[in-house]
Amino acid sequence: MEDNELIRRCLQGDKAAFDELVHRYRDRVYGIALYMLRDIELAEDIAQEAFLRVFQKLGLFDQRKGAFSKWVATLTVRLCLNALKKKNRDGQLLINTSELDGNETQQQDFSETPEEVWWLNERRRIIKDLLEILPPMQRATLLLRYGEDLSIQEIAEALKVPVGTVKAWLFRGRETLRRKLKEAGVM
Amino acid sequence: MNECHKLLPLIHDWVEGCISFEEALIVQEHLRKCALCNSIILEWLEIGDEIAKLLPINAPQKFGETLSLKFGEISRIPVFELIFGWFLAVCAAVCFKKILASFALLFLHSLSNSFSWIELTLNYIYLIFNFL
Ligand SMILES: [Zn+2]
Repeated sequence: MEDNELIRRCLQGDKAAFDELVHRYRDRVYGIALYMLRDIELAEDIAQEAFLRVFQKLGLFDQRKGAFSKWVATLTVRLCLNALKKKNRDGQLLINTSELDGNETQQQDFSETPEEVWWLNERRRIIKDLLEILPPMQRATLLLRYGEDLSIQEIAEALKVPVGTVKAWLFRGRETLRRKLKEAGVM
Repeated sequence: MNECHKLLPLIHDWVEGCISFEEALIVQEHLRKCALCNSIILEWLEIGDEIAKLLPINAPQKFGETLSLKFGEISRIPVFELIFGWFLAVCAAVCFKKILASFALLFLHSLSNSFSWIELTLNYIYLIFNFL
């Protein structure tokens, strides 16, 4: 069933439709929260808060402005940024990214040799580590742009900043990652 | 090399497809002769692909259960809070009316010392307000 149909049912009070929406997006929402907050418990809490907000604000969702997945991702990132501001947790590395490795739903290409697989995994691990040291706004823009496929314009609207600022955050974030990966010899 | 460094933000905007026509011409002209910037673009694209692969992450097993509990909390009609709220509102309204009436009486009373009929009327008004 399409998202829009589920949303329509949800607005009519169908709890099962809401549960299905949660089931579809909970791993993405939780992933964003975890990368943004770097705290397993807080990420779970914020991801749930995001779904409660989704439920409360569902009537405001306008499908002409973009996909439901983007709307949920935006809402999650905003909640994460607020949580970071409130708790001032940024700068504290509360989890080791290797804890996430077993959790991920990643596909592996079996046509690659073991060396290539090792190299790709190593690069992914370093990207995860590096993502966590980026300033929150750069991290948020990178996740929304490449993780959730939002356009620069959409990110600017979501974070309520000028397009130029988003462009600068994206460039700085991606360039920092590239340089660090070069230094680590995995790019 | 220095030119590359200066142009990199613009090249990134070009990769993202948010650049003016004039700027695009400058970038394309540079890319025609610069292998380094071409390789940087490929690396940026790889990084974008890698970030895309970071999501999703499996949510904890009890995620749905805990969410349902929270969902139940926000969906509950707060009967007790509603009754208590109304009670407080009525109390506040009554007290406010009494206070207002007493002040008005005091003020007018001071003006009407020599006119006993006004005093009488005011007393009546005070009584009515108190009663309400
Ligand atoms: Zn160049």
